[in-house]
Order: sequence, then C-alpha cells, then structure tokens
Amino acid sequence: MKIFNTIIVLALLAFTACDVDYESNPNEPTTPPSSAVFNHAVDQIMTDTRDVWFSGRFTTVTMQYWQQSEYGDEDRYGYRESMRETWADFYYNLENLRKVIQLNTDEATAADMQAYGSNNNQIQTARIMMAYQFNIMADTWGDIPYYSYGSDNEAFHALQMGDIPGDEQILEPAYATQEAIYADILNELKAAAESLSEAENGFQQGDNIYHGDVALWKKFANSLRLRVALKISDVNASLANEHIDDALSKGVFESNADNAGFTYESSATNAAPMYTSWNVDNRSDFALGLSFAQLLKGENVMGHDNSNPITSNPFSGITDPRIHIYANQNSDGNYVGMPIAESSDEAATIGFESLPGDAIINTPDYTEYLMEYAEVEFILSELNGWDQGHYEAGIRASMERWGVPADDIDAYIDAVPAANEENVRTQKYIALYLQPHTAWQEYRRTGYPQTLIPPFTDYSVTNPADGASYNFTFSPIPAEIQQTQDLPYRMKYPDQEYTLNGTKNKEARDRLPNGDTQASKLWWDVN
Amino acid sequence: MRKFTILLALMTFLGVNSVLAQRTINGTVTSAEDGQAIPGVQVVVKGTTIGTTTDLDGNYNLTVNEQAEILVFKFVGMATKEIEIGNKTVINVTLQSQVMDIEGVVVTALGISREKKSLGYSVQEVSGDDMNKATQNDAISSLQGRVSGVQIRSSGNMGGSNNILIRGATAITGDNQPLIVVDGVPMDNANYNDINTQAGGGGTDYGNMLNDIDPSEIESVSVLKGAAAALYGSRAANGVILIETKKAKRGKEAFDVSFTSSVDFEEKYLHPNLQNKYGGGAIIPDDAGGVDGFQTVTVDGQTVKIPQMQVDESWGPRYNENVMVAQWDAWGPEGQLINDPRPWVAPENDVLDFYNTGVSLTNSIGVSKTGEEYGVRFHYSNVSSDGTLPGSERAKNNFKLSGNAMLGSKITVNANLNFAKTYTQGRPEIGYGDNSLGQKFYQWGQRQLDYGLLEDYKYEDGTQRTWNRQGYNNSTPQYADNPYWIAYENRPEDERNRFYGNVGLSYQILDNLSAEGNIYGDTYNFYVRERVAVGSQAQPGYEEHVRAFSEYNYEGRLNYNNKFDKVNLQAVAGGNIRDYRYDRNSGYTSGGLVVPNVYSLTNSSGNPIIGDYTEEKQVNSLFGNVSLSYDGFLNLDLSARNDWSSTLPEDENSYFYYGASGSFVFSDLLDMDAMNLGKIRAGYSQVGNDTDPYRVGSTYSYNGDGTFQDAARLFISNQLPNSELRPEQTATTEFGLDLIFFEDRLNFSATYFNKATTDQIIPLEVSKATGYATQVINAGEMVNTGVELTLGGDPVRTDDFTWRIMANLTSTKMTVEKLYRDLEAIDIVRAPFGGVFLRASEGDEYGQLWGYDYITDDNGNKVVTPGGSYARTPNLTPLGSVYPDFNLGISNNFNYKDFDMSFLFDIQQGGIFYSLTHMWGMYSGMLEETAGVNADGNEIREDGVILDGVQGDVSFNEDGSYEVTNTSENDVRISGRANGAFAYHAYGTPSAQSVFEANYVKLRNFSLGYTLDQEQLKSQLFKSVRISLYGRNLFTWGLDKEGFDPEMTVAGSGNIQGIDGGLQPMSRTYGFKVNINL
Repeated sequence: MKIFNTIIVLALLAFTACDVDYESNPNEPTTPPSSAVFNHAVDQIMTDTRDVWFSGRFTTVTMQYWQQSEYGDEDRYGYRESMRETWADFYYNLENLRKVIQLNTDEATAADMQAYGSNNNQIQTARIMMAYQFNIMADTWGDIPYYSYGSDNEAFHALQMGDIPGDEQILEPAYATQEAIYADILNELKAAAESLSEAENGFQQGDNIYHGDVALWKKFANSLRLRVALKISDVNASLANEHIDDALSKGVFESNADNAGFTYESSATNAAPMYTSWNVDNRSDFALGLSFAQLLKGENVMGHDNSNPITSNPFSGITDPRIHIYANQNSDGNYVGMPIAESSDEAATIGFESLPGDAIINTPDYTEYLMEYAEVEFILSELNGWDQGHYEAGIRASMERWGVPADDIDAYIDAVPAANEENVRTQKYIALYLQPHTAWQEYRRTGYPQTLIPPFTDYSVTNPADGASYNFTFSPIPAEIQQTQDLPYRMKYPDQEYTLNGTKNKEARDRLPNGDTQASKLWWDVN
Repeated sequence: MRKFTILLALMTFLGVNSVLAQRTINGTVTSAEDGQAIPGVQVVVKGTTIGTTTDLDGNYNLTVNEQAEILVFKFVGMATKEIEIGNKTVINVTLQSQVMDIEGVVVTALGISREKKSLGYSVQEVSGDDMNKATQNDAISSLQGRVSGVQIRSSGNMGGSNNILIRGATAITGDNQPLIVVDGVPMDNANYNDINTQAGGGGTDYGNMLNDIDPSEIESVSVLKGAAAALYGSRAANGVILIETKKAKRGKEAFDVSFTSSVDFEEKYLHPNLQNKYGGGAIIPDDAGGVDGFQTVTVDGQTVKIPQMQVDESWGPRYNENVMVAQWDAWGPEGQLINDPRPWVAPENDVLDFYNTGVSLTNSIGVSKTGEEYGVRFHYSNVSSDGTLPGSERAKNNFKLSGNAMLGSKITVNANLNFAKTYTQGRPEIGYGDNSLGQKFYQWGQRQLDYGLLEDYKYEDGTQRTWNRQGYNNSTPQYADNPYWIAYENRPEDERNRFYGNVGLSYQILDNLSAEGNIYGDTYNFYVRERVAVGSQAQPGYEEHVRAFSEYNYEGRLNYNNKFDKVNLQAVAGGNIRDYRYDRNSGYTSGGLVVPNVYSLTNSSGNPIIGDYTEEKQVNSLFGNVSLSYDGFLNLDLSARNDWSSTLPEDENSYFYYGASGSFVFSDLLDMDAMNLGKIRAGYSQVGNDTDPYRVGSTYSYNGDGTFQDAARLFISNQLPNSELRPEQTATTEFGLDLIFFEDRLNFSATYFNKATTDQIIPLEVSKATGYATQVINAGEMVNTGVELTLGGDPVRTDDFTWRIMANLTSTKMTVEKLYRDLEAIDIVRAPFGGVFLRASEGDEYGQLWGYDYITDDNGNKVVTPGGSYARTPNLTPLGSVYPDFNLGISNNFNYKDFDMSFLFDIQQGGIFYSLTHMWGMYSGMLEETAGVNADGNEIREDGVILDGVQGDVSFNEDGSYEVTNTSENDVRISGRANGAFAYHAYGTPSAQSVFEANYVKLRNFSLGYTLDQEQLKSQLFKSVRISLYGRNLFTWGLDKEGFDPEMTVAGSGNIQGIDGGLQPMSRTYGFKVNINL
C-alpha cells in the first residue's frame, strides 16, 4: 500500500516534468495584408510630417506662415529636443514600407499578397513613398543612415536589422552622404516609375493617395523627381538636368487632378492633424504669421516708427484672394498676423490675431498634399527662364485647388507683376502654404521669399480695429544661430543618435561645416 | 457609527459569563545552570494573556481564576516551561538555557520551517504586530526600514505604487520586483502604470495589485534573498517576500475573538515653496498700454484692469492691496462683469487649502476556533477612507476563511480562501498631464488664485468656471481646468475583485516520509474607468479598461526527515505546473460624448475604439532540496530546480539552476558565557530566468485607431523579437556573520553579497535608423555588491521597563559592467521634455540620470555665460545614480508597565532625482526662488541678479571634456524673469539645475499604546484591551531641496525611477486605535 502511494506521487512528478510548447502570440498575425501595412505607413508619414510638431512648431512657424499665439519658443528657432525625435518615427515608417516590399518579394508570402495588387506595383509604390520620406529627412538633417531597394551601395546602412541574422545586423548604421542619398532618391524614383506597370493592378485597398491608379503614381514619381533634381541643381547640374529632362519626358503633373493628396477621415479618431489639434486636443496654439499676412494683404511689415517698411512685397497693393481661405477674420473682421514675439508675455498681449482658415483647422477630412500641380508649373517657369505662362498656370492651379472663385483668380493674375525670379519664387512660397517643409527647402536653396522678418529685426504690428501699434524685436533663442541673420539651415540630430550610434553620428557631425547645429548649411545649400 | 453599534451588541452577547473564584499563586524562578534568580521571566496562564513577570529576585505573584490549568514560564534564551497548576499555590521553577531558541524558527522557501541557526543565508523576519502598531495602508510600504537589504520607495498617493528592491535591481530593464508569496500562494503584484505615467509624463497611479492584501491579518513577513530564494526558481531572481497570515493552529481547544478599530487623519503638509509676492500673467509696460502693469478693458462704460487670464505663468504685477483688478471671478461666461474688482493680493486660501483632511476608518474582526484536530479562522476587515483630494474615496473589504483538519491519523487537509474587494474613486493624476494638479499648482499657474473662490467651479448653466479663460470675454478654458472641476468632474475610478488561496492535502506515508499536493490560485478582475467631462479643456471622453488575471500553481512534493546519529537530514522533492493568463479589454470613446455626464462607451460621438490583448504562459518545474546538519553546528543546504518555460524558443526553454549554502556555528565549540550564538555562513546560488511572452517570433500589430478609409492598418512592432533567446542567469555569492550576546541584549548580523546577472534578456535600444526602437537580446552584465547590517538588542530590560532597538543598514552598489558590443548606454526612459535621460551606462552605477551639467573651472566655480546664466556641457553627461548610497532604518520599542511606545526612523542618503516641477516652476515664476532677493537685498524681479560663478573662456575637446581659462568673477546682471526662464533646458542651460540629492530622514511610524489585561479590566469577557495613538510619515528632515521629497517621484514599481513630472504634496497621518481580544 505504501509503495503504491509512492508510485502515484512519482507518476505525478513525471507528469509535471513534461516539456512545454512555445506559446505563440494569439493577438497578432505573422503575415498581414501588405495593403494594411502600406496603409499604416503612408498614414504615419503624413501625420508625422504634418502634425503640430514637425510641421506646426517647426517649418510652419519657421517659414512664418503661422506663429504661435502664446508660447513662441520655436518661432524663434528654439526647437525642442522632442521634435528632433520624429527621426525615429520616420525610420519606423520606412521599415514598414520595406516590409511591404518584403511581403511582396518573399516567396513564402508574395503569392498571397497578389490579392492586394500586383507584387510589382506594390513594390514600386512603396519605393516612391520611401523616396518621399527620405527626401524630407535628408532636407532636415543632411547626412543620414539610408536604405535603398534598388542599390547595393555598401554605404547604405539603414534598415539592416529586421529579418537579418544576428551577426549580419547593423545596429549602428553609418550615415550616407547627402550626395549619395539624393542621387539614389532620384534613381529610385526613376526606376520605380519605369517599373510601374499599368497592365497590372495597383493597390486594391489601403492606397489613400491614388487608390491604386498606377499612371498617377508614375506622374507623382516624376514630379517629385523634378523637386529633388532642382534642389541639387546648384551643386550637380549635370545629374540634375539628366533627371529633369528624363522626368519631363516621362510625364509629370498636368492638372490639379494629378495632385498627390492624402485625405483624412471625417471621424474624430482619424481626422487631419490640425483639426485634431484644434478640436480634439482643444489647443489653439497657432495664428496667421505677421509677415505672411502682410504678404497676402499686399502690404509690408513695418519698422518701429511705423513708416519704414522692412520687407519688400513684390505684390504690393494687391490682396491675394487666398487670404479668405488661408485665414479666418479676427473678431473685428480683419486679417492680422501674429508677431514673432520677443517673448511669450508679449505674444500674450496680442488678442486680435487671425486664426488659420476653417478649411484647414476645422475640417476633419482635410487633404494634406505631398505635392501639387502648381509647384510643377512654378518649377517649369524657373526651368524656362521665368516663363510667364507656367507662372500664371502655377498661380491659377494653386488658387483653383484652394477653391478661389474664377473671377477672383482672373483679376489677381491680371494684377500681379510679370514673372521674374522674385515673383515666381514668392508665388511658389504662397502656394506651398501647408507644405512648409518644401517651402523651407526652397528658401534655403534660393533665399526667397524675401518677405520674411529676419532675426534681430525691430518691427511693429498694428491692430486695424483701433489703430493701436505694438513694437517688437525678433530675438532668436539658440546661441548657435544667434549670430546669423538668417533662418536655421538644418535641425540638430536627435540626442539618441549621440548615445545609440555615437561613432557613426560623429562621422556625420564632423562632415558638417558648423558641426551639429542649426547653423550648418546642407550640401546643396550654396547660395 | 453603525459598526460600533454592532460591536457593542456582539460584546453584550458574548459577555454573559459568571465571575469565577480566584486564587493566588507565587514562586521563584531560577536558572538551572547556576541557581541564580532570573528577573523578568514572563509567567502567563496558558491560553490567556493573564500574566506577570518576575521581579529582581526572581519572584512572582499571580492571581488566577478557577479555570486556569497551566502556567507558562518564558524567558528569552531559555527553554519555555509549562507547569500544571492543579491545587498548587507555590510553584518554583528552574529554566534551562536554550541558545537555539534565541534565533528561533523561520519560514523559508516553499513554506518550509527551519531553525534559523542552521541556515547558511540571511533571512530576516518582521512580525505583523510590529508592522501594525500603526494602522497600515498596505503591507509593502509598512516594511520600509525594517529589513536590511530591502529598499522600498512608496509614492504616498492613495493606494499608490511601491517599488521594492531586494539587493538592488538585477535586470537592466524590466521591473525587478520580488516574488511575493502569501500563505504559499505566489501573488501577482503587477503595476499597470504605463511608461508615460512612470516617467512623469502624466497619468494616474493605480498602484500595485498587492495593495489588495490586508496588513492587519499579517502574522509575519520574512524576506529571502540570494541562495534562499533559488528554490522558487525564475521568479526568485529578485528575491522573495514570504507573508504568513494569522492561522488557527490545531492542537488545543480555544476560541478567540478580536476586534480592531481605528480612525486616522491624513493631511498634506510638505510641498514645494511657492512665492507670495507677485500674481499671474506678465507685467504690461506703460508704453504698451499697461496701467499698474495690467491691461485694461472697457465693459459697459466701465474701464477695469484685468490680469492675463489666458496665461498660466506668474510673472505678473507685484501684490498691492490698493490696486483693484477685475480678476477671473469677476467675469461671467460671455464677458459681463458680475463681480467687482478685487485688491491684487496673495490668496487667503492657498494650494494646501485645496486639499481636505483625509479620514480613514479601519475595522476588523477575527474569530478563531481550534480543537485537537482542527483549526478554523475567519477574518473580515473594512477600510473606508475619504482622501485628501476633494471627492476622493476608497473602500476596501477583505474576507478570509482558513482552516485545517486531520482526517484520520495520516491525512491532513488545509484550505485558505481570501476575497478582497477594493474600490477607489478620485485618485490624483500625477506627472505632466492635463488633469495633474501638481502640474497646475507648482509648474504652471497664477499665484494670486484663491482656492476658496475656485471652489465655486461651475456657472449656473453647468459650464466650467475656470481662472484660465481664453479671455475676459471668453470663458473657454485655455490650458487649465479649474482644479475643483478636475477633482469632481474628471475623476477616475477603479475597482478590483480578487480571489486567492489554496487547497492542500498531505499524507503521512511513513513516519518520516510524507507526500503533499497543493493547488494555489490567484485571480482578479480589475476595472479602470477614466473620464473627461463635457466642458473640460480637453476633448470630453470616457475610457474603460478591464483586466482579468489568473495564475494557478499545481504542486506535488515529497518530504523526508530523518536523523542518523548526529546527522539530521531534511529533504524535499517535487514538481510544479504554473499556468498564467492575462486578458485586457480596453475601450475609448472618440470625438467627444453625445450626452454630458453619461460615461459609457456607447455614448461616444464617433465610433468607440477598442483594444484587446491576451497573454498566456506555462512553466513546468521539478525541484529538490536537501538540508544536512551535523550536530547542529555544521549545516549544509543544497537545492536544485529545472524550469521549462513557454516563453522561450523550444530548443532553449529548459534551464537548470541551483543553490548551496552552509553555516558553521562556532559558538557551539567555544564556551563563552557572553556569546549565545556565533555563526559564519556562506551561500551561492544560480537562478535562471525566462522572459515575457511573445518575444520570440515577429508579428504585426493593429493600429489602435482602427481602420483607415475602410482599409485595415497593421504595422511591424518597433521592438524586434529574437528567435535565439536564451534564459538569463543571476549568480549570487554571499557571506555572513551572526552574533548574539548576553541573552540577546546585543545582536549583530552582517552579510556581504555579490550578485551578477548575465545574459540578460533586454529590449536593447538601438539606433532608430535600424527601423526599430529595440531588439530583444541576451546581453549585458550587471554586478551588484552590497552590505546588509543589522544591529539590535535590548539595552534595558528590567521588571517594568524594556527598550528594544534595531537598526538595519542597506548599502547596495549596482554597476553596469557590460552592455553590448561597443554600446556605451541604454536609455531606460527619457524625462518629459528630454533634458534628462535615465540610462544604464557601461562602467557607471546603474540608474544614471544623464543631463546637461554645469561647466566648472578648476576651482569648482560654475561658469556663467556672457548672457548671465549658467553655461552647460554641450552633451548629456552622467549626473549620478537615482539609487541611494545607503538606507538605514532604526526602530525603537519601549515597554513601561502597561505602556508601550515605538517609533521608526527611515533614513536615505545619496542618489539623485530630476524635478520637472522645479524646472517649470522656475520657468513660470511659481516657485519661491523666482521672487527672492539678490545679494544687495533687492528683489530680483526688480533689480536682477548676478549669479554666483565666473566668467571665462571655455574650449571643448573632442570627447566633450573642456578647459576653462581667463576666468573672472561673474558680474553680468540678469533679470529675475530671464533667470527663472533660463531654468528651462531648451535655452541651453544645465538641466542639472533641477537635479537634487534624494536624501531624507523620515519618522515613518510612531505609536503609543496602553494595554489593559483581564485583571485590570476586572472582566471575564475581555482578555485584553489595547488603546493607542499612532502616526505615519509624521516628519521629514534633511531634504536636499526644501519641499521636494524624493518619494514624490515614485510613479510606478518598475525601473523607471527618479523623475518627477508633476508631484503631489506629501501627507502625514495620525490616528487612534483600539484592539480588543475576547
């Protein structure tokens, strides 16, 4: 009997010794629809680049389209550390795009992915979005770790961790030079457009830019190639021209119907970023910028004595009809720009500034544009010696896309002075409202518009309702760019790269003319 | 009050007893060894608290009733003796000395009782009585300062978080919390505060799940460290806290009833010092239209001065009772003047007046009945609290039923069932969040606000009335809701229902061999509901989280005990299956609420958002333990265990570990009268550890916001899993010495340990350019070394008076020896706004805060920039570890006749913390220093300030080091405003300005009691009654920065520590308590 009991107990123990199986994750799939990954990645790219931080507090205020109405540190170039960390989000987006490509190339999954569009067209579309994202990043920081689908350049170290065996992973990626990056972006856009096949399906779902229209993706790739090629034309004219000619021959945007736009949902959850800021987070942090308001009103920013204009408005005396859409009237029925304030206190004394327009801040299903037809026309005007026809077409395209009535468009085009460098570039700046990052790139390349209030300037703002005038001085904050009477040339690298990728980051910092500061010009910024 | 009525009724019911005849017994107690009289021997009637102690001549005199059968004679260091009374009136007794009893018996791993003398490792035990002299909120924080080698940080928030470290953190990432076992049940002590909340980014502190257990029912707590813990396997890598609750032990006929009732009061008393000279907004200069520094507006023909109500800073005009200002409360919803302008003066009711005095009522009843073959105990306790935050309350109910019985001669069954129900409403948001009052009171705000006026927080139409209006003519909240609105309208609630306990059966196979099987279960549902009311600054909404947790352990084992001549053998072998499951369902409204004040997901304006998650894990184990003792003075302990975990890859999921320890009781070989015990001990253990579920295979996550434009959204997680994971290993070596002198008048225990954790499973943070944030890898080595000292004894022990003192010192140094390849640091977390990072950096002490430091010259003077503020290093540099150099707890117990008094000091030295509250409070003109006076005695806001330091040229080297040359005394005057605002790191000034040392001296516990025994009560009903006064956290001294308590930084129980993102004032509690035994 005793022995019998002992046996029972021992049997119980033997049972417990059984091995266990690995418990796989019941919450998440290992193989998702590639369209779902693309949908997420593009949505994130748009939101990350257009939110109140990377767009709002960074380039929108830097380019003086808007200013912050209470706390204006970033208006004066004091960008917070956290803004630089959008870097991380950009790379996550890129990795997701790489995963789209991988799902369509890996033998184990490619066949299943055909259900969401042809493997080839999915891959090419993802490449175009990668080029778009990398272009923004290189314009922001300069040299960055880079990945290319089409190139085997060994200097491209980014995204070398997922699906790669442990000993081949690159955890501390080297930074590619801007020269190599832009050349590859151009090649990627070229190759992707060439490889896109209109005989096959584009994305059957999850493509919220062109909804699977392969022909439009081609046009976008070529148009984007124009933007990138033109940017480097001062430093590598032959490469730039080669791509410009090729892109134009392959076909670029021809009307607003070709615009690359991304439309948000009317639901609060998936609404456009600015709508979310004003209506979900209840933050009304931004107002129309003073210099931009004056530009649209056909006026100049005035100095302290209020008789001495300190900007030179090429469209002096002409009211731009887009002002009614770009901005809301203040409570007195006027359009008044928010000053770039000496301090937050002074900003707080202003209570009559105009907010951005309802079409922008109170429209949940707002469309954010990656690129518009108008920009292509302004590029063509520039390429063709400040061509008047392309100039006018650019103005018209911009106004039409913003819904300006046709009569107002005609009247405005009749009124504006003829195309020249200043006029074309300033019109391009006006048209790039809400694509501030591209406007910043253009400013650095060309020095236009010249209507921005430069640092260290004394100026005044007047409330038209009572004629009261307020004096300010634009004092930028960070010491590193206090000495230059110019806008920041780049953004500092995120602090994380200093610790997580210190050696490689240092190589890149050492290549910068003024180190890792906002005062180091990028490779193509030679004016 | 109703509870007291019930209590009284019970007493009356139970009190129908006749008074019985009494008689007197006397005698003398002497030592068997030398025949000397022994003073201070306890003489007690068995089964009662009736008793006395012997006088200086060893004599005693005791009156007993007729029922008294046996007298018990007890004295420390002597064998207890029981004598039958019979008809005797004189009982003389001789006591044998018994060294073994001095250390006594302790509960060790798997609930095995062992003689403390034989152990080769340190185990420290705390009695529930000591812990409960002051009524405790939760079992864990009441251990503060009581055990060496254990560091506990408690947030002080209602039901808030505790962080417990035993011998320091072992893992670079993760929570490093010990396994907590209650009556054999491994209990979940999860902390669901998200990373944002823990890092000070804002959120509610829902505390630790183990706050469920009832402190008043704790019999004893013992803490196992190192080798002692190995038998528990994986989860013991961070040590084990064994909690035994009160039981009814079979063996004698008895019936006991006890009541405890206490009331205590909590008040906020410690908080950052705020300035009291200037009000909110900014000073509007005359040339910008300002009058007395104010803007003016004209309403209905009346021109009035207004403060900048839309600004949440305090750089406004100086207080002046002659200046009348139409402040926030003067304005109606649409800008109509509804109240007259008021003088611009400091508030009558300031921040601390916002808080109430919290009141807690704690009542409990315990009933035990035992017989020869059974014991049953029932216990119920209720805690009802109104918190200090307006509208906050907490109700906690604990039920327990435990019992054991012999079924025949060989089978014993036991069961222990617990139900805990906790409801909390109105926990404060902490950190930098929308509803965080700390943020509103110290970081951003206006100092002239009167909290008495703010209490009227709604207009007649129910809309919010806040001071932070968008303008005089627009009552929409700009940044800040009215704090009363936050407290009453936006309060969260949470509720937890928990069942735990065990059922077991043991069978005596042979005299010295038994088998037992136990099932241990722990399961709870935890509901969290958070709301943002319509009319708040933020978008209205509601969210709900339901978490279901269960863990069952099925254990079978064989126990064998035998004695061969002088060798004693104790062996255990067994197996365990652990089944774990965790489910979470979350829902959020989107786009606002359709109807105000209805908090339901279906009241969502847009589609509600859902989230769910399930986690399962199974670990199978085999374990064994052998203890050998030779003649009591040479002892050896060996234990081994193998685990198979479902979280690891199939070919790597088995891991074996072991522990060995030994002790040598050298006092047995010496013949020293003074030394009762002298022991040296040594131990070594190796503990393997698995990881969280689902870290092996790569999967795609669903976007939490659902589909987009009718198409699904998924993404690859930015944490890359690893299919080649191996279990991590922690090896601990320890040496110790235990000494007891003069019958425990003096005792001393010292332990040195070295604990190395290698092959850590960590989410290694990588350059984001890899496409990932982290990859789970085996890497890194952390070495903790430390010393644990306990020194105690009874310096005074007389008839009437005893004084017992104990000091526990813990000093642990954690060093990050190696990370991964040539990586120099891993970020654990980034402080909000990024001026400071918590990191593990190679070669440094663990838990380094990296920030921008001051630049100093060779003489240690701070360098001041030409602009007049402090210069900073260009790169982040290590500023120090958040973990202290040492913790020291000193407890004192005094007994004088029927009085007892105890108090406990808890001292922490070293370690640092970062205060966002300080940073923003300086920036926004809220803190006292922003309105101080300069060296000339002038107001800095009017006269500016010249900072202490030097001007000089700084040249930086490649590696970030620098030289300062050409120095001269700083003579640059900076305005008070600019000096304050320059505390903000983004302007290029040192974040070290907001880093402080985490020192403190706290009076944790105090109690003063008076006990009446049966004799004094002249009652047959009451065995004893004790009344007492007590206090918790009564005083704090020695803070580096006045008003900034380092414990205010605790916002979770994990490794994210040392960052204050928005703190709550600290509380003190004092109360009154009655214990009644029937």
